[in-house]
Amino acid sequence: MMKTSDSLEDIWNTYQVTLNCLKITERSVKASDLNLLKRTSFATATIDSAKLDIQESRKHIDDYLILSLWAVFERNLFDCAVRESQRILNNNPTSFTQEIQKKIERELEYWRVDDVLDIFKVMIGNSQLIDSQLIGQAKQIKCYRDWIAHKNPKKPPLVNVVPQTAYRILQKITRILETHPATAIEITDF
Amino acid sequence: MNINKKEEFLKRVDDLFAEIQNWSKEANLVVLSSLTAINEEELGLYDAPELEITTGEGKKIARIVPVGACVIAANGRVDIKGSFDNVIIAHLDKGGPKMITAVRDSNGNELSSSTTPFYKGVDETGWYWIENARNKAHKLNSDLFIELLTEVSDDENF
Repeated sequence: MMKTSDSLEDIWNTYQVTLNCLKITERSVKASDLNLLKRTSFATATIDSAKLDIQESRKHIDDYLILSLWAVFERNLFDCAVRESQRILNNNPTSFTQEIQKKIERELEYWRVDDVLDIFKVMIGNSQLIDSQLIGQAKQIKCYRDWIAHKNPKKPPLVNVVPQTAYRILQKITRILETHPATAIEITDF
Repeated sequence: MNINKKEEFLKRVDDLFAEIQNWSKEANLVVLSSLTAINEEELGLYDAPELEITTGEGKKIARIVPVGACVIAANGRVDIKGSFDNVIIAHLDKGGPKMITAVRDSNGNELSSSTTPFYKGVDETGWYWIENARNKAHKLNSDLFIELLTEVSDDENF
């Protein structure tokens, strides 16, 4: 099973490779190099329309990165919360604690992401599991992700985000959850 | 509406654009200024300057476009947009944004904290290009600006 931090890294690497591919494609189109363009839609396109398509893709790719990163991050967050709820059953579970845990697991999917994030501000020993500022920044990324996904042209985004900053914040939180003794699980590669 | 935040951002953009005007002049490039509209939920709709960089013969190299003041872990963002690529310039405070881990006592008082900077290289407050391939920020200067123009235009001969 792949670690979520590895999945986030894959998304980031794919983003960078795609940026490079767009550059190579643009150069091929400019040079009208049919050897490179054959068996692609660019082979029969006008140079102007091809360049426009490439530029449009370049405009959207940063947003697609945020959408992808958030989807994987959010899934991991909820999975982590469910795993933690299962710890209720670790020490002599009663039928009552089993019912409570089942209800949490069933209904957690309907909780607001902001509320799930807040759970991870919990104090473990003398420090917060995830620092409040980092949680706050993750919530801002969520806001931007929602604006991209729903794109109301009449409503501007609450915040903007540099793609690498979003990746770093979400990756940091994910790595804490993977490595902190309170939340880490053993990942078996197969 | 946070007037101070908007005014600070516009001042930083003005300062950046004054430097860009000088660097461009040194490189025999032409700078045309216009206005662009920025719309941010916190600050509302407002105008900001935008620059277009061309060669002396009129060939377009890039547009320098302010994106906004409300940026996660930055004081503002300006994009350099060319026909080949776009790069992001962010205004960062000295040290840059940090990820903080705080150790507290049972009353919530902070006993100690450790910080990990998001990016290496933020030695002073200013405008930085954040390199995607490494977690490094590079302070914008004349040489870097010309390099980024090449990066976004794929033109090495202007």
